[in-house]
Amino acid sequence: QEVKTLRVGSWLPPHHLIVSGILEPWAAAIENETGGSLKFEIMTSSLGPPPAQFDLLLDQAFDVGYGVSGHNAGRFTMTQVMDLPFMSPDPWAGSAASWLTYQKFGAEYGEHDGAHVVGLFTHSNPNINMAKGRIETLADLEGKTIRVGGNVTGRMMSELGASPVQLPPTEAQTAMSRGVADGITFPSESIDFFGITPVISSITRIPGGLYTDTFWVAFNQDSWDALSDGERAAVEKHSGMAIAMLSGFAWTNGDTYGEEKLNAQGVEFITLPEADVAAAREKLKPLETDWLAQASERGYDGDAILQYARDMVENYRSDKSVNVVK
Amino acid sequence: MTSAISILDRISLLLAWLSGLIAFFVMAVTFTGVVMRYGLRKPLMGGFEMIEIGMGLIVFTALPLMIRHRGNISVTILTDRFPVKLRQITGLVSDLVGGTLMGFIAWRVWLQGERLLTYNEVTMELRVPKGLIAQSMAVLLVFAALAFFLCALEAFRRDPADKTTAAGDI
Amino acid sequence: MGVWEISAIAFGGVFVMMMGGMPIAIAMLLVGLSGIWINISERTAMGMIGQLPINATMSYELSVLPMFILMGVFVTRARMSEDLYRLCHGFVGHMRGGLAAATILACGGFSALSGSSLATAATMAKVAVPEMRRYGYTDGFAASAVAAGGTLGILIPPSVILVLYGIATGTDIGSLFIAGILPGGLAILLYLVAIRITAQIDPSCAPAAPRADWHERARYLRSVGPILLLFIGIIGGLYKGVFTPTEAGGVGATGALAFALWRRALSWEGLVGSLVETVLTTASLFLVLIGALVFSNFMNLIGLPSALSELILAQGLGSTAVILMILVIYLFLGMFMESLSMILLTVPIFFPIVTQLGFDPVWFGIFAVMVTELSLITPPVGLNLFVIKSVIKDLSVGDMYRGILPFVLADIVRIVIIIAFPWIVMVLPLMAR
Ligand code: NA
Ligand code: NA
Repeated sequence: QEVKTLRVGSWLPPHHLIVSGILEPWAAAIENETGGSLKFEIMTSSLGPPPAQFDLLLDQAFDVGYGVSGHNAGRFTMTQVMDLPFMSPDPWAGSAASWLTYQKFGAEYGEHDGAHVVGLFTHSNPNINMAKGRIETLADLEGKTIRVGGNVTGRMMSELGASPVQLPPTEAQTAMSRGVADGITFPSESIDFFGITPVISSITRIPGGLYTDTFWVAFNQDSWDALSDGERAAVEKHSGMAIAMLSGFAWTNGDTYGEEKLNAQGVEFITLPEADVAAAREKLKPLETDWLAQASERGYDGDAILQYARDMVENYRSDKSVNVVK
Repeated sequence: MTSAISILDRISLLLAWLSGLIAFFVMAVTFTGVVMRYGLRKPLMGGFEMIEIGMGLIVFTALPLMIRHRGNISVTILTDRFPVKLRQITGLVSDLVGGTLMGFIAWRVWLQGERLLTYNEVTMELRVPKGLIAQSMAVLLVFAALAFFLCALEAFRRDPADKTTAAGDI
Repeated sequence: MGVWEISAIAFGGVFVMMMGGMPIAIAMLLVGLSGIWINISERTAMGMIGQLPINATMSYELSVLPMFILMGVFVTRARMSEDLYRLCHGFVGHMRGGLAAATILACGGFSALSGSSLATAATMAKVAVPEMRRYGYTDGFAASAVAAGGTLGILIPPSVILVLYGIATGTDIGSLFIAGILPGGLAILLYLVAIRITAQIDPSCAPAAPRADWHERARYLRSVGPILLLFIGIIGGLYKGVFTPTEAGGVGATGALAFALWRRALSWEGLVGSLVETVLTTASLFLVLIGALVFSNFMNLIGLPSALSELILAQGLGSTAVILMILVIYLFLGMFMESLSMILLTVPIFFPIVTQLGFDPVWFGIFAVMVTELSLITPPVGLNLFVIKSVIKDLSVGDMYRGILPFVLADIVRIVIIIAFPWIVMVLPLMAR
């Protein structure tokens, strides 16, 4: 039996949940499905920084790759609809909606031409993690320095009254422990992953999911075309909504693990009151207006994309109350 | 010929001054960012990106003069013992390879710039088209290639063992 | 051809071209690019070389490189390096091997303001070598003391290599900086011991200078005030959270500029000269960085990292044995490779192996810096030796190869000590967390 090995480009350490919780099980499922004729080799060190991943894929530096849509600002406008505030209430709903929206509009707008997208997913809810002080209401954010990873979150923090500081993750821990930043926006998973747990004293949850990044998983088009019909069917069977499902589990499990560590340290968890969440939604409306303008600039039907994505989120959200007489 | 050389050398020097200016700018932006955040509790908008763009430009604007000054990091313990003629030949080969590579890279970076332009990729905050930044780098790389070829032209007129300045000797 | 054969040809090719005088960056670019072209595909090679120069240079974190270089240039222009040397000279110069000891101490002090070993060695060579020659030190011993002292530039924070390591592995740069302080002290101590022993064995290589009186010493002490202030400002600002490690570069350069202006040591031409000197150095460093990245992507694409880690893990060795094995590999590579590219190429390979074995990423960062320091002074390719040779033209490289041995031994002893007692590295970062 002939074995076809595909190289998977990766820029995260092998124990990161995206690699160990999403890519590895996905690859294993396809290997099983094809009886071992299709194999995946996940690279252990990166060929370039995260924003370079899509072009590396187009140049066939690897056959399969993944990346963050927001790292290439202006390029994946349609996909980034999920990055708007309060779009993704949980990693299942966000991942499912991002994939379904891509299925509906992706081919038409051709943002990923040259690659064959097999999955899209979002991460879990970020919280506001404070080293000093606590955020009980939005007003508490006033004058606090919050570390953010990119300018979209930076803008959100500004709109909410905080003072954002954009720092690379390699400096996040020092920034927090030394007081360059009072707080940091991250899911609990990442707080632990980047070794920030020891300096956190309180964490404020924001129901509805303040922001999210949208990840893509894709084949190089030529690598995809070189697969047999049977192999393509095997990949498709375990991609799309299956990747969304894996993402939901992986991020939730990652958060659980991170929160265990945080709880063991006696970190206080706070939930932002409903009225404040509503106020935050209102304050962050300008980001939606901007996105609609960018979409129309590119000739997209922004309203239709946004509405469809919202509908899908509602259909797939994981916090439905069931067995309750309504 | 000689006037063409002196014009190119003058351009290299001007570019290096520009590079120095950008380095000063990066220093000032960093310092201002700290002062604003610590003193005024307000970040310098776009500071992060100004530094990123500045970094890319510092390197490529300084490249031509660095090459002209033979500032590349290299190992000379063996070549120092070569006879002058042999040293000149190896120097010529290095310069020709360097010039060809820089020209080749300039071409590929230009095409990458075109690709970024067609995808409308911009920097996140200041929304500067990334393709334009890439294509400026490509143009500067052409000057870097020319700098190598100029060195090649002079290969037999000078002894590569004596360096005019010692940038590469940091 | 298998992965081992391709790697051997690639490394051999770079080495031959490098020894033939080709710029290291160009040799790595040529071999890396054509290697990808032949072994992977034309399309991948063409695409990679189009985007790598853009991504490698447009980096916020790497802005510390030009900033720390600029800081060092300003400090040198303000003649602060001379003050530093005179001070150390005044206190220990009268002892046997005292001027060499003063050189090590002054290098240590300068390292606290300079992120680069080459810059530290070049700066101190101009100040210290003529002085040691004046008192009858042998060339080899004098130059070796500066070469070894210069390596402290990347161990004592700030450090360009620690920044690159932090970026490559996602390790916190602030913790790495703080972790470098105690090992830096240990390094100075061991170098002083090495000097003392060498001077004991061969007193003629390092005669004593006349003793300075306390009046003079006090004057020297006052003159280094600005350096002390700058260092305290940077470390204090980092510790109190006024700025981040990356920002420390820009803040430090601004501070050094202010001191240089205050001392009236910087004319308009001097400022322009400092800036141009800085960007030329930056450009040559980044060209090496780009070359090393293309070459390491080639190694990555042919699967060297996984082959090497399989080889090491297949031996079934304990963690200490693996670290010793890695040390031996580094000793060997360090003899022939340029230090920056050595770290860029090997850290992605070894990092997953050692962290899997339970070593702390911060500890391995300091280990990686120490093997880099060693590579800077081991023949035949020891960049610090070449730098000193380029500053003091009439030195003989052969003399330096002979004089460097005590310092190489001191380095090896130091690495063995941090393997045996890892807490020397970890105690400060753990306290700071
Ligand atoms: Na240093
Ligand atoms: Na060496």
